Amino acid sequence: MTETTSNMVIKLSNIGRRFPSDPPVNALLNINLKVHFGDWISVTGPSGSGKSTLLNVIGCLDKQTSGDYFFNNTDTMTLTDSQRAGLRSRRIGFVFQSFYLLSHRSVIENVMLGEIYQHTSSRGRLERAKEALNRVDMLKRADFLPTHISGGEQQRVAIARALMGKPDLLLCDEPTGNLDSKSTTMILDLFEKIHASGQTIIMITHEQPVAKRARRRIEMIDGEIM
Amino acid sequence: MTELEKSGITCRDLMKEVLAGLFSRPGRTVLTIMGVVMGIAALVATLGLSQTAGNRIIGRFDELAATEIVITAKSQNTHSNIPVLPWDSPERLLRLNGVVAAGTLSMVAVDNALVRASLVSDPLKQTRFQLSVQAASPGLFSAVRSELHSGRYPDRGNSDRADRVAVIGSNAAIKLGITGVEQLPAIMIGDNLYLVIGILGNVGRQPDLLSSVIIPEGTARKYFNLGSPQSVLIETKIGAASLIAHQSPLALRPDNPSILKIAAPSEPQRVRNAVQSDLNILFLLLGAVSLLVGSIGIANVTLVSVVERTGEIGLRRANGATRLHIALQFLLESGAIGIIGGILGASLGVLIIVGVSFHQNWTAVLDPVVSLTSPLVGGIVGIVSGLYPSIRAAKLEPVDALRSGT
Repeated sequence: MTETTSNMVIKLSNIGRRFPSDPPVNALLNINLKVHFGDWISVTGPSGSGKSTLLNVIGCLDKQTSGDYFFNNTDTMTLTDSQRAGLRSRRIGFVFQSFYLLSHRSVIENVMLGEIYQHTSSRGRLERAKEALNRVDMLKRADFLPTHISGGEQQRVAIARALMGKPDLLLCDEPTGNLDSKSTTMILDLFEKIHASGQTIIMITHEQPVAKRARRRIEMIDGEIM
Repeated sequence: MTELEKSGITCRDLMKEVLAGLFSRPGRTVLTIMGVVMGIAALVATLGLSQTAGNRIIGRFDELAATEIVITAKSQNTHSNIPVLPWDSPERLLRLNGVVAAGTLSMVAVDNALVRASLVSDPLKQTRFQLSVQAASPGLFSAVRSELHSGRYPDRGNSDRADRVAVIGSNAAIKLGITGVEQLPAIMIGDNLYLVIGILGNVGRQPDLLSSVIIPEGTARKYFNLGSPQSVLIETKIGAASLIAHQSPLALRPDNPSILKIAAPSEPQRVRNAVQSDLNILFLLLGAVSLLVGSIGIANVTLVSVVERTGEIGLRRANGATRLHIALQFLLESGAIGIIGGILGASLGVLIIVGVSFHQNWTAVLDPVVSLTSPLVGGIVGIVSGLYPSIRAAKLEPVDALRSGT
């Protein structure tokens, strides 16, 4: 296929994810999706539609039970656990609804955490972290503790942490779910800015106004893409 | 993706994460460390105090028990006119290198004669007593390490002249109502008068002498027909007992050494080891129990920490940490708690030993290996305690950890 070339970040073909319960739950059914470098995609859908399961599979946090998933033309099913972890550390950045900032570490230390599992020297890490914080306009809060900044600021720090490793793909799970409208607008403006710099983004949300900011929208119902 | 690089973390980054994890909840970390400190301190202190006390016990044992030999006849019926133990036994034994003092001691057959201190019979008070009468050579008093309450010991002249003199033990003196020798008190053994020239205050060996009347050997031979010495007591130098026990029969009865019975102490080194081994087992058990309590504390706190940090574990997995990285982080955190606890515990244990020894005026004894290996022991305890929680943390699926963590 000519499309599985260098401009494609991920390609999902007939992806299914079945959870072995009684009766078994098909969280994903025949998902076909191609994401190119520079895309900004929003995935919407009601609760239980399979949005988070799709994000987990794309983020190599979970494995599909059927179908093929290629990340940068690499079949992810052939990867060992360590290689999948390596892929997460170098190629994928995660932004979560709950931020997951370590409360006892300063803002800049939290950002540096995004790079430590790349087995790279710490030389220049501080500068890179400052650069990432600067991208999200949080450099002035570098030495603050996460508990001393607002929710919107915490999410900006989490985005800086995700961008720290210069990922091919930024995966965001309800990034504005815990924020007020003003902070939501600020975060979406930030995504616009990041996207404009060429960052590929997949964003899961159940809020239509948030989804509308993406360049491409996907809606899921009962584990299928509509 | 052109290359498939595995996830990894440098040692420096791992140690930074471990330290950050330890100091994230300083209060809890300090309390957990205290558990190990108590355990290690108890272990070091008990081992040190057992060695210190053991040294003390062994010192006393060496001084008294390990330097005493008693020689008697296996049987008094030798069908010979020659006494089994010669009269000059002390002189013969003193020629052996290693003998500090030697003396003979014999029970005198007084035909149930009672001993009294007054010629007047008081109908309201007991004045006659059935006391043991023993005959001793002059050297015996040194051999039994006796101390005089008052007066003097009978000398060679008293024995050679068969003087009617006696030394009485402190208990016998109380019974007889004699408090000192300044007034030249006398006692009657049966109908014979004896001048009391000394009162024993204490004895290191043969405590029955304190309740006895002791007369010179020559006196017993002349007036009570003592046929031969019944026993010879020897005090040796420390460590010489087994050699003297071997040489004594030949020195006393070169013609027939087998007729003598030697009561010698066990080998001092063997007894020392046995005593110390018993003490060490007891105290080691106590220390091990303390350490077990500390390790349960670490395991418990680490387990709680894993539950509390589920979200963090999920984030780390999402950021590229493998199961091994997660396990290593928790394992090193608990190991570090153990090492810090080991260092502080060893220091506290040494302080306890020195403090107790100072208070008791003892010499503090501690094998340096004990205190130097304590951090290692603490580290091992920490790692073993953290093993189960670490495995549990590593087994968490990233999706589940992110879902249940906050």
